[in-house]
Amino acid sequence: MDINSIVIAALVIGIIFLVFCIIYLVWVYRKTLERYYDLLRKEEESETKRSIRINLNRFTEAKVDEAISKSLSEASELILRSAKSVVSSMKRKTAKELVEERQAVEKAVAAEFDEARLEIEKYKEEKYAEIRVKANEVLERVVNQAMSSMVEDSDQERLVIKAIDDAKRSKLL
Amino acid sequence: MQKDQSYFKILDFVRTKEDLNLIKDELDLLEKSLFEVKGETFDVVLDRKLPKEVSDLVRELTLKADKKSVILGLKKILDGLKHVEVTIAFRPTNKFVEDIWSEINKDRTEKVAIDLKTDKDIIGGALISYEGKFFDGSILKMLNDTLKSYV
Repeated sequence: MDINSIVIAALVIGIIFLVFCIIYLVWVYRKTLERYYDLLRKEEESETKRSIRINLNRFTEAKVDEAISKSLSEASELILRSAKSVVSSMKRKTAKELVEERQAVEKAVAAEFDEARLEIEKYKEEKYAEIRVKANEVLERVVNQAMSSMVEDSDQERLVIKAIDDAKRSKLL
Repeated sequence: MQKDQSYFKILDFVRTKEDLNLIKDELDLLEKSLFEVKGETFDVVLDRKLPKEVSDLVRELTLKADKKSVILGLKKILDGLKHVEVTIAFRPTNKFVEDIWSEINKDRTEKVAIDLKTDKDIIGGALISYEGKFFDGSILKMLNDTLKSYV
């Protein structure tokens, strides 16, 4: 074997070795690249997921906020409406009650007035009766005294006989 | 005995309730004297204690019946005597008491005595009460009736 052949063989082996090296490098490169892409993809996925989660959170929060706001608005509106209704009802009721109360007070005052008037009338009647009785008593006493001294014995006897006759006429005797 | 109308003559001597009580007391004395031995006898009591008209009546009656039955008979008649209460405004004379008695017993078959009372407050006239019935014939009542119509 000559040198040339050896060189050539060495060259071929070298070339083959180089080819293998190149192939190996390419393979390593591809593997590395794949891994890189995997990592990149994983990172991207993670980022996307995070982004989606963030967005979802934001969306949810926004929706919740919106729902709360809407609920609050509706609730306040409902409360306001109810309050208005209650106030209106109370107003009507109060007005009605006021009227009824006024009527009741008027009735009570009228009743009190009637009662007082009756009491006054009764008091007046009693006083008049008292005055009549007293006047009667005074008059009676005065007249009795006057009459006693005025009636003479002969008149007395005549009056007694007349009383007896009257008693007989009334079937007492 | 009691059917003898002469017994009822005793009522002619009774004008008032006082007269009635007096005669009853006298008849009691007379009845007691029937049993007296040492005390006053029946005739003594009859003469001294009783009014003459009553003693005359008793004597007349004792001629027909025994003394005790005469006394009891008279007392029974007196117990049955009714009286009319008459209230007047003044103290009456005996004559007027007689007038009142006569006026009341006029036209009456059954005699009554009068229970006479005085009350100046009635002014005049009389209040008459008999057997639970009452009649006010006083001037006081007339005045009250008149005053009531004016006051």
